[in-house]
Amino acid sequence: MRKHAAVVAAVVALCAPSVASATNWEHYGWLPNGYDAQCLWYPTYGQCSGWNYWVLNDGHVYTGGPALTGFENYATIRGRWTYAGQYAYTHPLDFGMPSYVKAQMTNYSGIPAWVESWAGA
Amino acid sequence: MKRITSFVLILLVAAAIVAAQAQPRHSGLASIANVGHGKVQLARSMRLELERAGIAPRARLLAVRGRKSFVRLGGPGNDHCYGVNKKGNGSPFGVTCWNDFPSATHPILDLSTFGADGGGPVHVLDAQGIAADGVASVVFTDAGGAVVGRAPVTANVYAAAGVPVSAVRIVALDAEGRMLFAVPK
Repeated sequence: MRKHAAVVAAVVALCAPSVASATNWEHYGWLPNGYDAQCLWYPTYGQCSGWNYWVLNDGHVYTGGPALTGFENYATIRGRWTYAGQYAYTHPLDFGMPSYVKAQMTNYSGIPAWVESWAGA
Repeated sequence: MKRITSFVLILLVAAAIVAAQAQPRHSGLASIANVGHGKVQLARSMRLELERAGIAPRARLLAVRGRKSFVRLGGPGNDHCYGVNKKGNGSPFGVTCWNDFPSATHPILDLSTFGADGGGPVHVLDAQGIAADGVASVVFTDAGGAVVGRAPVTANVYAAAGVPVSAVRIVALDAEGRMLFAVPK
């Protein structure tokens, strides 16, 4: 009986929708874009998500920049420089980072950029 | 007759000078000779991610450097995406798409990791990327512009591990050592 209950619990857990899987974050607009308290490293130059088990950060620069597309935590910031016209699909694992991080896009190039950064968990 | 011949000669020399000046300063910046050799099997999760991004889930191998495979992704008419995958890693890997690559304006598509730890300055951590035919090498420069490292471009690919921590920029050079592009600008 206890065995059956465990199996049922496991099946229910597997079938239940994951709150994290439905989560996403997006910044669409200028970068820099004022002070973003979510950013741990460059709050005056970046836009950052909250903490999550992010899988992907898709950074697109429409004009200006370049901007650094990637992830950060308290100890580390990582990313790829993304130029106007580029789409950069980045994952925490690309940078050897754990998945519980903040997605970030940062532009301290001195050239304001119009960007879209979309992260999915 | 002699006067006409001299005039024609002067005209020919002038035309040759104009033609020489009309030649682009750099050549081969809008082409990639390496068309890839063989298809690359992509993990299911990678295929799904590419499809969601509107990229045909097809990959051709450009080069292998150490444990890294450099691939070109996409389908006919939309194959301007490049990525680098660590060998044996079945997880989705980073991809960058750029319609304006390769071009004289953008002769490299850099896939390097930049970053910092513990509050330090952002610097080059893992240098890698795709280069147009006219790019001979890349150098790494420090904050003052001094060259602190170098990597050749072979088969349109550059890769370097162990880049000095003082390196903050990657500069693409032609065969004569002239600067073509820098990441970041």
